Amino acid sequence: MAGVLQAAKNSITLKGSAEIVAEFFSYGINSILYQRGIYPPETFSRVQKYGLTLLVTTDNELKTYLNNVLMQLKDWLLDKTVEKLVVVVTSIDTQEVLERWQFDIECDKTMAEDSKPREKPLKEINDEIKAVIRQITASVTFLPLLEENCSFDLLIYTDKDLEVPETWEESGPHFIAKSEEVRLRSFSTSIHKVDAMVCYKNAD
Amino acid sequence: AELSQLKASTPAPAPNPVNSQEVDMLRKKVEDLEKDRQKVLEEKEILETRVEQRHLQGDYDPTRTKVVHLGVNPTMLARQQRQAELERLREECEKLRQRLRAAEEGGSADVTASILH
Repeated sequence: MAGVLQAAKNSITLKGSAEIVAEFFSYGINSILYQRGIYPPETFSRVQKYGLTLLVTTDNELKTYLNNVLMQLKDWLLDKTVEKLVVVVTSIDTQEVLERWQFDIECDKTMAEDSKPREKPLKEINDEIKAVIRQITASVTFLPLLEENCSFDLLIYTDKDLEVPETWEESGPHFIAKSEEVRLRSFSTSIHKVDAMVCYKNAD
Repeated sequence: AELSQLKASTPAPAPNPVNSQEVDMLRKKVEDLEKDRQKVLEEKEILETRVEQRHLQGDYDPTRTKVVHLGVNPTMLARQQRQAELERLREECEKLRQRLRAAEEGGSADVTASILH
């Protein structure tokens, strides 16, 4: 019965919420890489998601790197130890940080893996995510043109005492020296809340 | 006679002077504290705004939070490549110099002339 399905589709478990958030980042980060020209457009292919046409990379090395980060992120979302995910865009030539996409993550600490699921319509969550992604793509209207060859890195802010796997190292936060900051939208699964914001180098 | 006795022994029914003082003092103290509280609140707000801007820029409390990333990441790979490019170019220049020395010795005298063009 639609009713039953509906219920299932509106029940968000901790695990389910982590999946939704990780999936958002997968599409969101791909969006940023495409938008800001960090990888050549021809290395992206179109997919439908959230009722939008999104571009995702076909570059195998890149896909592997993204997977590695997002799988670990999912674990930390379950642990509720992650605080932010940041996409740092750096000029290859001058080593200067040009853009910084920051996503603050709030986890409802009372939620555990076996807790009773929260009720929130999946459609509503997807609409919120859709709005965030549209804002990311629309940001080109105010972001300065990235003229130089850039590379990116994904930073994750976690609890100080969290034990991280050997492949993960401590990093600096890579602030931007003279920056403009813009708060973007947010979305919530009712268990995890994600706030988006972008920081970019003040175009002289 | 009794009346004057009463009059003489009865204090005037006016606001209690001791309580009045205390109330005034307390009222003033409350006023001062509220002014002070207001001031501290404003100072706190200014600091909060400052911290909020830093927050948007990515700031954090290093006693409670740390920043991590995969050691092997695109930016690190790009940096390595750039360094390798320098190395490769240096080696290529060396090889070319070697071949040039060969050519310069082996060739006849007008080889040296042709370099100038």
